[in-house]
Amino acid sequence: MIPWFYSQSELKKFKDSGQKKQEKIILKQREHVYQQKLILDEKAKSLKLSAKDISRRVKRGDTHRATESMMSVAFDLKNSEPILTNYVNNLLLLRVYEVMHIQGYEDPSALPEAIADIDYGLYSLSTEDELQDILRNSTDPLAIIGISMDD
Amino acid sequence: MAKKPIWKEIENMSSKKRTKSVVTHQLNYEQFVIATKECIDKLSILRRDITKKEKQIINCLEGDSQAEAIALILGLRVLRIEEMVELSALSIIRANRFYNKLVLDVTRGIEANVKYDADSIKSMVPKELKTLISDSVSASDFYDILTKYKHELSQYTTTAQGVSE
Repeated sequence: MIPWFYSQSELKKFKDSGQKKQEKIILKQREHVYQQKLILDEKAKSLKLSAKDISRRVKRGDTHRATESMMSVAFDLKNSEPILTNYVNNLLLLRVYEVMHIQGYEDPSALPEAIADIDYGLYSLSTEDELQDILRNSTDPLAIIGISMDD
Repeated sequence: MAKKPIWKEIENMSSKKRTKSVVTHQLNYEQFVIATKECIDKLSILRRDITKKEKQIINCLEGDSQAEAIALILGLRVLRIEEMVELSALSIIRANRFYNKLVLDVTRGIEANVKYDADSIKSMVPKELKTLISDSVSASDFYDILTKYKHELSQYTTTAQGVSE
């Protein structure tokens, strides 16, 4: 079975492109990844500011304003989810483009049967939902210790 | 249609075609060796950054700055995502590197009159190739420490909760 990731139309298009076109696609994809990482960095900075605000207000006993800042942290954390999802999808696509661009690259499905059952990590998954589950359960420290954002 | 076994394909090649194939696979192999090294270097940097971020989070938690810890957690998540993607890319690179090496080794063997079959080819596949992606999360001390602060951290994940006095 072809894993979900390898069945995406972008990959078929990339495979059919010439060297120069592939380089262009890679550069464009790098730019997408860079822009999304920038948004995540900004979110992290904004979270840090809200966090400092909470600490300051809690120390002063200003609980109402501290609660407001705390809510802002929760909002920022929740709002980061779609950006993280897009970031990982684009990063996966970028890395696979870069690997496919290496001279002599063969698709996992074209490799000899003896090495057919390799675990390709995130590239081995059958569906996009599976990717979301893995990301949540393996990369979110809060989810790992049992804290749900939806509580 | 089933793929032709690799040894049969090589056995059936003319001497000229076999020489050409060796040159091609040798070049490809070298490309994937370089790519593996680059990938491992990236992973080492990511691992170093993850450890650093985890220490910062623990320091915040132990210094009673849970809000700051939460802020750092997003950064840690991004790093862990990047590590998973890089590990996944490494698995494809390794498989390709191994494939080219396999072709070179089998060609050399065939030229020395070694007889191959499906089992002997299978036995040439290193176990490590099939168990690359490991779950390093569950074994980490960091998550044991984080769990101790679960109650405090959970206050920051819901928009409807206030500061506990």
